[in-house]
Amino acid sequence: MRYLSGKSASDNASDPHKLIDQNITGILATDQANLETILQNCSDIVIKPFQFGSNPPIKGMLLYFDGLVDRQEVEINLLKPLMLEMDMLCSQNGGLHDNVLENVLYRILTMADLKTVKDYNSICHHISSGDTVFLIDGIHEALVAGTRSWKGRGVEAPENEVVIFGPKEAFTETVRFNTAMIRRRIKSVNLKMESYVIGRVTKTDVVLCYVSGIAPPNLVNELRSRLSAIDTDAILDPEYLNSFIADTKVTIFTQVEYTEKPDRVCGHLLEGRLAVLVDGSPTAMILPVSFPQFWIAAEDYYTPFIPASFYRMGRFIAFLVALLLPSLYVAVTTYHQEMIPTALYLTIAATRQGVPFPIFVEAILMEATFELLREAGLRLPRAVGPAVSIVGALIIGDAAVQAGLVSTPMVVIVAFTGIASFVAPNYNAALIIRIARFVFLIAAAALGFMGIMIVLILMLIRMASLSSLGLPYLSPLAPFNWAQLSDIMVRRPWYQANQRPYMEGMENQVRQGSKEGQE
Amino acid sequence: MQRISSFQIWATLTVMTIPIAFLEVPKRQLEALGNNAWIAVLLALPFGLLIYAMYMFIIHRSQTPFPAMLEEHFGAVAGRLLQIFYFVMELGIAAFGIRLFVDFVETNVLPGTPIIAYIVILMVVCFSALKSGVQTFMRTFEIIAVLCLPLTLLILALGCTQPLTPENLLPISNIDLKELGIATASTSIILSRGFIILVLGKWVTDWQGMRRAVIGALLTYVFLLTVTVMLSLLIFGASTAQILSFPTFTIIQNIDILQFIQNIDIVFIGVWILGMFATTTGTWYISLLSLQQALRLSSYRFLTAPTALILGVFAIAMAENILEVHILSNIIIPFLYGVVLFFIPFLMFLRILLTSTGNQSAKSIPVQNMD
Repeated sequence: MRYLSGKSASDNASDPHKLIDQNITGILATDQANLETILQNCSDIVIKPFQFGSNPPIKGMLLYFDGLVDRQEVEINLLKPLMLEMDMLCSQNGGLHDNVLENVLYRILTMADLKTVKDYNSICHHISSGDTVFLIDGIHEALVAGTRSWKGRGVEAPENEVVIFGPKEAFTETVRFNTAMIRRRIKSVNLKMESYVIGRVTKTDVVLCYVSGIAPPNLVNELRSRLSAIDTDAILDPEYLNSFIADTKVTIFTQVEYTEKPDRVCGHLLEGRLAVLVDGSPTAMILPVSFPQFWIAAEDYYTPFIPASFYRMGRFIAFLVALLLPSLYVAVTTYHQEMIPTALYLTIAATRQGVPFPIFVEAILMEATFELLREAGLRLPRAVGPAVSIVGALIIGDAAVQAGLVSTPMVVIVAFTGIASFVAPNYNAALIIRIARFVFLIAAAALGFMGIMIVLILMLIRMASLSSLGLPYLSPLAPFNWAQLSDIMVRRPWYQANQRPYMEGMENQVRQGSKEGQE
Repeated sequence: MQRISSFQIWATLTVMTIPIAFLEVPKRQLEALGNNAWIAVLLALPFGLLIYAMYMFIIHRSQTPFPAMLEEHFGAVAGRLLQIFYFVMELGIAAFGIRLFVDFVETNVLPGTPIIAYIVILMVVCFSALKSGVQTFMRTFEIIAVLCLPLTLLILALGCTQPLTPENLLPISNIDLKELGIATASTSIILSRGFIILVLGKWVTDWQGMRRAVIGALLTYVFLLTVTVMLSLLIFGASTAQILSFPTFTIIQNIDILQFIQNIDIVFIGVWILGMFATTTGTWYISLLSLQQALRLSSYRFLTAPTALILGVFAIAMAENILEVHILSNIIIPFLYGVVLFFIPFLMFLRILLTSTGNQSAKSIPVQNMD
């Protein structure tokens, strides 16, 4: 039984999980030992004991993780002032031992980003984030210096949201750079960036951005409470958060928008939406969003409104084509042949001579092949990916037709559908189409046009039941709002866009043309 | 329950009245009045206005929504008995709608498929809408109205590309007044499917907007049906139109644009499916609410599954074939509409009119959650 008895004090002292919750003792040797226990097996930790001041010298210790800090800054702005200038001050003033911490904070160190912490947990969090921690013998607080600097990807052009006109900057994996890119565009004190640390293990920095006075306060409060309620080990990407904060968890319809473009985030913030940035991810999460918004491209706002509107409407047509064309073809050729003009029907029939599969099987095979090629093109190394996709499509398509496995019209239909699905500016929206397309195909094969309509109704019901942070997913189509719907169907010229899209709880809808608007 | 917009009221009234009427009314009017059928449809406008005015008056002067208002105006016992009656009758009306649709599809679209397949499919869709809640299916109604109305207008506009004979609308002098009365009544009585506003009206905050929505729905109904009946006459003439099973359907079947766009009746059927879904869902919803209120249940949603079985069996058993469905459509159903959707509300209307306002007992009626 003695093996099951409570642990002794010495056991507690050597248990890193218990030590981490303790406060700094103020005895440097003990604190060093405790921190070494907590950080055991961390080969990248740098612990540098040193002495500063004189008569007698004060013992101190620096801690940081190698690779996460700017070593030059540590040496020049931390060590050098402490070890050299402190000596000078001591010799001038006859010793500064009475208020060491205050003297160090306010008289010695020239760095702006300085703060104090009192427990090991905070020390560990800060050094993991790239800060440098400075402990002083006899002091029960540790000094944290912001020295974050690590090698990261520079600001590059976006990979998934390519634009011809407009800004070509994309977010990086460093959240602070990303917030800076947003703040550079919205130079207002009303741009708020609230920080959260989420993830028990990863302790990921998450930033909630909104423009105070434009974003509805009820939405901000709701998102705050949802973010605060997350209790998980790790957050590595905004999608991790989405799975916790989404209004409806089990659905193929994404209730947030992802973007890698800071200008797009700013556009959304100025319309009262909220953005969430996650350290380590070059993608911002926007919410609330509605489904029709997914068809608005960033570039719409950088081209004159007439061509922008024309192409936006084209995008909506492409959406219908991508979703319904293969199923309509299957329905019409299988059940409603009377709709096809005789000459066209004869052409289709001639090309299907010798094809061993029913049209539905042919369509499913071709769609599945297309999806495989697309997926392979994404996963393959960039140098060979596009080549494999194109060669695969050309060779497999041609070979399938030559072998009489599929008919030429089906190849045309699948290719056209594929092109239409790439028109979707939002990757997640395109995913929805691709999955739903298979459901429509099966329904068309089972019941023809009626099957398509039945699935369409089911899809509408599901979409109508969804919301994104309380905003109805199909708005402004349902609940119907003509003013906002017209703004989504066409790109309104800026001089006419006097009002922001309305959201429940929005206090300031005026965008321009009134003194009531902010700033 | 969340508030309901006036646009949702317009959409709901439109999808509750037009889809069934679009197929039923032209044939009935053409059979009764021949070349004067369109006058009967136009005359539905004042009668429709009176029906909707009555509904609005009842909503305005009642403290509870339907079906709780039955208890408010007829007393606790009679009110609850009427709620049970409404449950059965509305379920019957919903079953008839399903059956009419299924028989039409079976005879005109996909012959050979057993009707049970269609009934199950339509019920699954309506079931899923009802389980999602009133806000969800009302949003779906909005989209259906927004999508279907332009498509219907487009189809009718395409119908105008066929040779039209304006003389077919004349003469109006030989009109049979008795037949005109019956035809007008049968066109107007379908408007009483707008009865659903007795349920939803209490949640509309914008009373003026609701008035506009109701008038808008009425004008939409009269306009669409008048155009349809006139087109049937202009294209086929009275004698030919009278022998057609579904004149609206035949107009669309005859559309031929540049010898390339032809036989687009399936598109019309697609639009009609959307409308039928809305009509059935709305009627089924009233039926469920009535039972919920009568039994004092906290939610109607769990009643959806068991009533789906009753509805399915009812839809199959109510008629042997499409001929019996037509007989039901001409005699029983207008009578049912008359009693359930017009006569009982009319009694409520009279009671409100003749008695003093501010029924204190209404406060003690527990209005069940309708969402």
